[in-house]
Amino acid sequence: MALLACNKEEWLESGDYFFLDHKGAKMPVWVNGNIESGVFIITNHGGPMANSGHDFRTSITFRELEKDYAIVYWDQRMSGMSQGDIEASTLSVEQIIEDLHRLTLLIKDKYNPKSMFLSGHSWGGVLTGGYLGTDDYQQNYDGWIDIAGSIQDEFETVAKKEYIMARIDTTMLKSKDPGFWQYILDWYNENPSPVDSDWEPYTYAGSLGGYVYDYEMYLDSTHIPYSELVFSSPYSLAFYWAQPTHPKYNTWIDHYDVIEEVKRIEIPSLLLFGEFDGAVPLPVAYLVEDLVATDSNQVYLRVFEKCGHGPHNEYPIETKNYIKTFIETYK
Amino acid sequence: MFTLFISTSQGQTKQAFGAGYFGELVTYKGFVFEYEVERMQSKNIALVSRSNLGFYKHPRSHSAWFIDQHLGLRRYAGAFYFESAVGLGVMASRLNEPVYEVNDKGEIEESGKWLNPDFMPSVTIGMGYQFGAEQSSALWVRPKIFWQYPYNAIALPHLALQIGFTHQISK
Repeated sequence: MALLACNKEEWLESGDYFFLDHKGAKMPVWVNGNIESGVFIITNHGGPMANSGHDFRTSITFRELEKDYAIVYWDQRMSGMSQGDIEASTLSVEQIIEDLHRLTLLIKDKYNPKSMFLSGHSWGGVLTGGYLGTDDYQQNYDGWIDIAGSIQDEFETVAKKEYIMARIDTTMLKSKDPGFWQYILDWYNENPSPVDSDWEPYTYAGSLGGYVYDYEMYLDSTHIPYSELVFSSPYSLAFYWAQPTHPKYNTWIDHYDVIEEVKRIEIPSLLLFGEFDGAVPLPVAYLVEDLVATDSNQVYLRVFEKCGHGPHNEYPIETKNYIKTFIETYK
Repeated sequence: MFTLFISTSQGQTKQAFGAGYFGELVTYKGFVFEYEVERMQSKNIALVSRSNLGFYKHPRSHSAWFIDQHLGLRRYAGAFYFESAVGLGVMASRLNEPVYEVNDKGEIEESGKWLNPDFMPSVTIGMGYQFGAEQSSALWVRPKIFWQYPYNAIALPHLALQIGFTHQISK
């Protein structure tokens, strides 16, 4: 019972919880951790859709950061536990950037933070990079924390194909099921230029260890409290079954490109990438490092060896330490 | 309409009222009241029409009031019965936490918590145990899956566990 009470307090009672209402979407926002610190990290989840900002809280990285800073978890429209009955046709990169700006203004109004940092993972890199390079939005933040974030569909897709092709021959030679790997080669022959809404390259990269480098180590590092999330948290079945992941709903993301916006970023930037990330491969990190207008001595690229797409899940303490050092330097 | 259909069809008719616990995802608490009309089709098989009025609260998510109508079959086996039903209703949901809007000038305003009403189709299975004089009371367990439609352009499924009591008021 004591354990249950503790769990209930964590997901259903701790911190502040509210909704951002914008253009029909009711997006949940959870502000948790050391709010008194005045230092806020606004996290932005991947996907988009089929994902939730609440997931970050299952990572030790963010639970540890909560001890020192306020962490803002939110679900983007039509993602996670976001509610409302908006039309999928209203989705766009620009719309979600607009949502993030409303959230930024809301956090500033409610808490008057001393400093704010913007963090994004995977698709969250598109969102945060696009946001910071739009108008004067980067003036709201003291730093950008980009965790395996993408910025352009075409570049990511080519890098992903190169990641797959660099590994598939040796994998096929050792495999008991070479037909499976040949199927991937055939698919690429038929689809030489896939776009982001094509789910196949993500699956192929995943089958080559592109998401998690060492699954045993990942399980040791990240304990997902499934029963707690189902029975004692804001999670609903929307997270599992009611997000429009079908290609007819998510083609809006195809050909996303925030390169011009990223070129305008001047604030300190921390880039955290996995050496063996197959979803957003390492060349994307080097591209971002080259593109940002930030003074080069304020751009920090940290590459985790033997790591896939989630440094905060595979190396949670190291990731926390990098983020904390960055924040302490620039808060 | 189901109730009218059953009331006017052939066979012995029973009416009952009941109430029970309604737990969305089992643990998110609520309640349900019911009125049902049952028409025996044979010695062991009955057609059942059931009207529900209920409420539940999922903290940090939403609360919902719902009213729905079910049509199903019930099979008796001694003091026990087993049943299944399909339903259709409406639910009115309300967000449980403050809701804020940021207008185009960047000003913050509190916004309404009520969401648009949604359709609520459902499938319910269950089992009951009859007891008391002439077996006029019953305890029942009814898992239910219902859909909230529309929700983010598609439908959101919900699971619920219902446990309750029914008492027959007429034969």
